Amino acid sequence: MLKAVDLHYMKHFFKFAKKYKASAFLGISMLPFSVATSLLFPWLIIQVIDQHLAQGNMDSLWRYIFYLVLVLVANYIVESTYSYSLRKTGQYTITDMRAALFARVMKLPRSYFDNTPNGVTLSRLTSDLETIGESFVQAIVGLVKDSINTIALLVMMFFIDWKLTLVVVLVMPPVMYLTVYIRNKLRATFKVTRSALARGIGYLQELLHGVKTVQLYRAEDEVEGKYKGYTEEFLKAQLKVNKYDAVLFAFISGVTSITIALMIWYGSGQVLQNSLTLGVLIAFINTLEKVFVPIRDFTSQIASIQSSFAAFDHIEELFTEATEDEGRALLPSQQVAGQLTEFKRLEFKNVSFRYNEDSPYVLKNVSFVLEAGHQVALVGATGSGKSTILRLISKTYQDYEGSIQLNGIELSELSVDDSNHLFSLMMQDTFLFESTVHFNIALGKPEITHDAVRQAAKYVYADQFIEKLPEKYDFKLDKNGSNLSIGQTQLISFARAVAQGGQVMMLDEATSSVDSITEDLIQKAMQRLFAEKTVIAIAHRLSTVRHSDMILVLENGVIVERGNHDELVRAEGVYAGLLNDARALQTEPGLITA
Amino acid sequence: MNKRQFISHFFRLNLSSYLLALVFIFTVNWLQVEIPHFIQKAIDLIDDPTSAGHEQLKFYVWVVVIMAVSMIGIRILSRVYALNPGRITEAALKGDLLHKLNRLPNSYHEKFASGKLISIINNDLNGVRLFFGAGFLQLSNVVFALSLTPLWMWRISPELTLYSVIPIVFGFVVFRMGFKRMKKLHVEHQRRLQDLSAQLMNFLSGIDLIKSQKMSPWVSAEVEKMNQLLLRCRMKITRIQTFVMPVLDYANNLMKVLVLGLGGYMLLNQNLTLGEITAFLSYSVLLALPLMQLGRVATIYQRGMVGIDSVQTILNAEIPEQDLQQHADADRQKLRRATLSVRNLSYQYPNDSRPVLKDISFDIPPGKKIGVLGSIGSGKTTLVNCLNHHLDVPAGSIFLNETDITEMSRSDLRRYVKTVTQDPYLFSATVEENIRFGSGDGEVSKSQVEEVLALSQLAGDVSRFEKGDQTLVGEKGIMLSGGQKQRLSIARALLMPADLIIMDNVLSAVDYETERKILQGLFARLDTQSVLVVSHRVSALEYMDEILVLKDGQVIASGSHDELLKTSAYYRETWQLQQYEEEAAAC
Repeated sequence: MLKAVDLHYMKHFFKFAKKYKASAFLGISMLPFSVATSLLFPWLIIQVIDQHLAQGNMDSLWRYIFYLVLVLVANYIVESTYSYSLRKTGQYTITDMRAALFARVMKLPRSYFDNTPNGVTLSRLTSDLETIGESFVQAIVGLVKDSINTIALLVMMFFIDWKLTLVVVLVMPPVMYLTVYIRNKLRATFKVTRSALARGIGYLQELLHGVKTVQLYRAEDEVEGKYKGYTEEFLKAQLKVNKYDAVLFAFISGVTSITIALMIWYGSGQVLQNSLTLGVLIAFINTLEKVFVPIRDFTSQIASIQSSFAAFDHIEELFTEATEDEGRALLPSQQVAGQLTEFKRLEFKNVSFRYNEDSPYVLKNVSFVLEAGHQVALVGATGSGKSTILRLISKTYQDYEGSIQLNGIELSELSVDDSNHLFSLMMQDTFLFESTVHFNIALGKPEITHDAVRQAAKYVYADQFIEKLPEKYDFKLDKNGSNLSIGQTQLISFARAVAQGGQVMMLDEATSSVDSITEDLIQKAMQRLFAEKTVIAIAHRLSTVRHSDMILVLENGVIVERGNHDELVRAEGVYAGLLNDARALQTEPGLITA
Repeated sequence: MNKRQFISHFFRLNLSSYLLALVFIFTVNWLQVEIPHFIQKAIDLIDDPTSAGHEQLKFYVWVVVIMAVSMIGIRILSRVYALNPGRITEAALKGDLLHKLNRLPNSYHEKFASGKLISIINNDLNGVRLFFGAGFLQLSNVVFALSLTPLWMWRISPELTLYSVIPIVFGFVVFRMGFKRMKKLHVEHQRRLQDLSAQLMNFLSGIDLIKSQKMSPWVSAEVEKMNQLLLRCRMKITRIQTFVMPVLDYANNLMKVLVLGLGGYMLLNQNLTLGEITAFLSYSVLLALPLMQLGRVATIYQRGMVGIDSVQTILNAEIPEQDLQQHADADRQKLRRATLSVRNLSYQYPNDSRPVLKDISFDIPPGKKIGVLGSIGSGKTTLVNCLNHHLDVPAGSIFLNETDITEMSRSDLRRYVKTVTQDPYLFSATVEENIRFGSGDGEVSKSQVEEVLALSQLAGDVSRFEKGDQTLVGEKGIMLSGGQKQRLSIARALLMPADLIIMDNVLSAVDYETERKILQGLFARLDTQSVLVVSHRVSALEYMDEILVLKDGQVIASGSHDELLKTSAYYRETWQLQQYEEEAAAC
């Protein structure tokens, strides 16, 4: 019943199931016994009717009845073991698949997350896998057993009376044809329902994340209207599914009665000619449900399997979605590990970059060198490409043109895990876990002790406000730190960058929301950092810039000026202009850019 | 609404559909028991050699065929009419849930991770849908089948009917035990799935950090913990489903054996015909399906109840009463150009002993430009979230023209007060759609969109995008820089007129030049509109009519820039710090 094309979708499922083949094998080994006991039951019934009831023969009837009970018990044991072992295999497999998929998701490049709402990824990891573990496995387990048993039963009936069996078999082709026809219809419709559902979930998730924005902008009705569009698209397709489903189910349940009528009509002539015993005819009629009930169940099993194809499809997509390191000729970790224990030098050579092929270049022919112990400050207007440089170094984005060399090794030939330990990054968007302050600084790494956390916090003067919190370092942060001020969350993430202790500090707009007084303290801390570490920073404050070995002034992705503070002031170019602006306006003297 | 009201509400919603379904389901079940009756009559005529008997047999065969064909047609109708309400209810509930969530105040959303809410709408709603669709269908089928079938059996042989009930009773006892256990496990399973979803969502949001800090081993281990708990729960359910639930099916087969044995005995004593035994066996099959369905109905019932409970935790959450009343047009007019007054406002977060705002008072009459300067943690953002009633402010603290804002709906308040938040949230949509967000459909012309784009100094950036304002902004606007996001959110706020515009530190990531242009553009547009700008930058506040200096939740000074330089040491200090840096830079 399954096309070959469908099987490749399940490649990964079978790959993960291999680990549990012992359990699967136990289940499958029950099948012959299941067939044997399933056949014995109707065979004994035929014997009872044909040999005893129709003949009016009481001898050994009770013995047959006893056999029947025995067969039932055996069948129960065998079939329960069969279902349980296989479903267990399925459950363990999807549990492993979930872990593997999540591990893979964590390796996907930023572009995947840019293009895929998190709600979609979530439904891959939860509802799609649940569909496979539940509907699919259950349906397959039933389908395999039922089809083998049905075929075996028909073969047995064929040996008892082939002509009468032929009547039953004749009914099959139209039943099969209709099943396949509607199956295809259903499949097309399921595709629509799945995609409508995923889009609806994605949108809903955005709305719930942004519920504050929705409320503040009084956009409730507007977004509800849009969401209703998704819901109704889904509903329309589902009502179609109901219709096809009903036709299939009703048709097959009626066919049994029609077949019985046909058998009686045909059989009555045969019985009168003595070429068929009444007992066999009646026994056949009574066995018919054993043939047709599974066929009816097939349709619902097939519906379950079909709806799970979409889930398989999604899972497979996630498995084949290129990870950051995929399709790159990477140097083996062992080979480069020795060269990457210590940061020596980072060099950009004519680097250009755009986020995707449709968008303009955000960096054009950028070249500079960062040596160990030196500091590079990036200065420029919003959108000039400062953040992009940091994103390239941290490998958030990878497909750059030109060359970026870390200790002489091309960055694109290194796996993310090989290079990232050298850097401590503090990004624009502070992300905080729903956990304690301590956790958010140490990030679950046991080697970062409580003292180290305290020290890091002190370093950035975050300890002052942390000590004032009700449980201090054990204070539990809400969803993304919403029970702290933005400045406080930034301080925590700043402390985190210090605690994580990479050799190169990468700071991106680290202090933009901190007020001047705290800012001043941080500046002092940064000067300490600047003295001890290698730093590349998106700079806002003159104090940062002044002590850098190199200031790069960016405009629209191009480095327009470079040099240290004094050199640039003397050059009287863009940088000097920025300084003059700040001075003339006398408003934000320390701030040359943001 | 309690659970019973909830259920009856949705039954009434699809009442005609349910009634039609009931009629069809009854007819199908009646045909189902009538057909074996005619088969029985035909069988008893098989070895009748007379031609009259054979004609009679042919007649019965025809009756069976016609009945079977009509059963097919009616069954299709019965399923469509019974199953559709489930889907319709599901769609309606999705709308209702979002409607509710959109109107519940911040204090509600704080309590739930959005992953959990999504899981309710994603997973629990399935249970509710099955309850109102498949559950109804199967229950009706079960009720009719289980009442009609025994009746028809009784008509053949009361004695045999009574005996054959014994295995069913046995099957039921076992089934009940499994049922009770399953009920508990399903609740647990839903909860575990919700927890997993919430956790995954949290990690997915922080994916950049997880990657850059190599936290994957820890994160994977955390997910695996939840994953294993889910598996363990699922396996418990599987064990019951495979070992306990099928017992009913076997009880039915046992009944068949009983019919053959006892029926055979009665047949030999001339009390029963072979046709009647055949009919009896057919009926035993007709009992089998509803009995198996009973298991499914029970599961659906359990899941449905769990689902309804989950859904009701959202639907029964109370929207504050005042939020349900919308102002009439006349009231709205009265509040045009209103003065927003803050009187002795104190605020403290729930579960927190420290007040964040203490005794704050000030007025914002129409056309006033007011600034708020404060250090980190001084309560600036909290103040903003009080002014727009995002937080539950105490009554008697904030008034719009003498109307306490806690006595008017938030929606009405936000007609007058528009907030640009510190952390702009953008949607996965085009730049233009993001700007139009909240403006309704089609009321705003393209030129207005372009105007606000220019005002927020974003027009230049947007023109550099290949697709201009039709460029898609990634989830949360990730493809834009922080400054671009802020300017886009400013454009969004300026599109629709509001009496008071609050800008909460929104100029922090834009450079000085841009900041000045934005403020100038904004001030030029102000007429009777007022504006409140929160910033740690003096540059943004210098031109304000009045500046409040906030420290530890208190207003420690207020006045214009020049006045504050004279009166406030704190303000002067802040200013001097910046001054010092500037001088240091100059030498």
